[in-house]
Amino acid sequence: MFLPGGVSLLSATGRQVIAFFSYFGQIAQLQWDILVGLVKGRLEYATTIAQMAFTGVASLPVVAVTMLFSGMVIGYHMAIVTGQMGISNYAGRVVAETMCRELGPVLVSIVVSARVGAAMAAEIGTMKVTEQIDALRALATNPVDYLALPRWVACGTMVPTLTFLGDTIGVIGGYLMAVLAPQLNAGAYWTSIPGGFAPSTLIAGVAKSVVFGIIIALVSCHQGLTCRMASEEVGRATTRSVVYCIMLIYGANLFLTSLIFRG
Amino acid sequence: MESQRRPIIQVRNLTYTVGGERVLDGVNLEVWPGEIFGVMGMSGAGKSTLLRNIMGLVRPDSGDILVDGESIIGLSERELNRVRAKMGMCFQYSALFDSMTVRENVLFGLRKRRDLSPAEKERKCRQYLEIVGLAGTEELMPAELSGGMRKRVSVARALVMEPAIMLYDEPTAGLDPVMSAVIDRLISRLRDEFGMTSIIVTHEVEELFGLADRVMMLYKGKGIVTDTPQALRDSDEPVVRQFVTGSPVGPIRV
Repeated sequence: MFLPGGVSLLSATGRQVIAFFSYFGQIAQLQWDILVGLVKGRLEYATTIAQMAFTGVASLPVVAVTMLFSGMVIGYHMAIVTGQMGISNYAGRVVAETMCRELGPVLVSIVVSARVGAAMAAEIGTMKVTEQIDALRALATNPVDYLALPRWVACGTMVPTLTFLGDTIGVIGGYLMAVLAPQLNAGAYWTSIPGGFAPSTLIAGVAKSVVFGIIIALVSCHQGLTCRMASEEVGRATTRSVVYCIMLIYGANLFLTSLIFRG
Repeated sequence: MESQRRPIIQVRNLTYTVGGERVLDGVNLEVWPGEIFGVMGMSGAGKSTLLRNIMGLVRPDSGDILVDGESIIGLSERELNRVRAKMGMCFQYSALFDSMTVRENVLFGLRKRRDLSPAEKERKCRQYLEIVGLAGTEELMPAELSGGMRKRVSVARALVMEPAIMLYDEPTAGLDPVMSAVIDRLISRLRDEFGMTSIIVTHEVEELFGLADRVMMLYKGKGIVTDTPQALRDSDEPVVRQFVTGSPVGPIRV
């Protein structure tokens, strides 16, 4: 009685472990193929610019709203907490640190995962099930060079750009709360930021978001390119893309934060 | 001269398995330059898979495929692209790039050709759209086209690369008889005017017999007979006979 159950559990665990390593192996292979395409000058500029506009410019409104409200909420909390501690003059710096270290890179990346990553997985997945990827190959076009490489470049450049803008908008959001909340001194909000806030913090946060952008492109393109040949699979690939992106961004953020911010 | 004496496509003992099921089981065929070669068989007999193998879109388990004398087995994707340039493919569901206009679809394969000026590319686009009878549709989106028009754009997109061989996967499936006749006439015309070799995969027996020089019957992954349409019509082979007559009684079990 014990043996079949034990064997079954063992084989199920083994399958999951193999699937886990197989997945990351495929992601690594895709990254390698993209880098080879990049180095060998196979980037298609028109497609890349279109992808940058879609990833960056078209995402700006939702990123701006997300970061503005997040900055306002953090500003509100900081007004209360720093007021209770008698250090309300530091509220601006605390908001800026929070935004630039963590909230900016992570929130912007999650917004882009949901908006752009999902669209990438759905678009490429639809191309797969309607044989458009095969048509690309039949027309002597490498699907990784044509589809994944421009999206990789677009995410790798636009997510950090959006993060920088998002950080700025978040700090402005905090200021708006400083103006509105009686506990905060609006003038002190700004003067506290250059006092202790190092530009390297902003740069480190933006650097993290480069990695997050690459994760979004790799995971989403991989889901699309490996989508099974059924229309319901496109929906599944899209959902998996967003879930995997968010999980990997959380994991990578923990790793990068512990690597970059050391006291 | 040598290329005229040897088959332009040779498939030798090709086997292909997917999901544990042997889809192709030792298929052999030879297609000669300028020939219209048909492959008929039941749905799921492996017809489309055979075309995908010839195009190098999937890798067979064993066997060999020679395109213009060159084996494509073991070639890298980049080397395959060089061989694929000799072939064009019309997919079963057209596979047009749905985010692009007809013009952009047709020009797609030419976008990296540096030996052609933009004006020459545009001229070729118009020329091949005219050949397939779709002049003036350049700015339409695939969603605005009928099934027959989509097929013809798909043919124009392949033709603009000026391949020596065209592979058609169910070129008339789902089309009305008039549109089917238009596509059939186009395939014949490409052979007559450009000497183009064609491989057509279909289960439309009468249409294929009216078009092809030779036809192979694919059954359970094997090419059981290859002969002229008339010989297949007169064949005593039970599977061929049942398939050609469309009889529910016989060795083919559904």
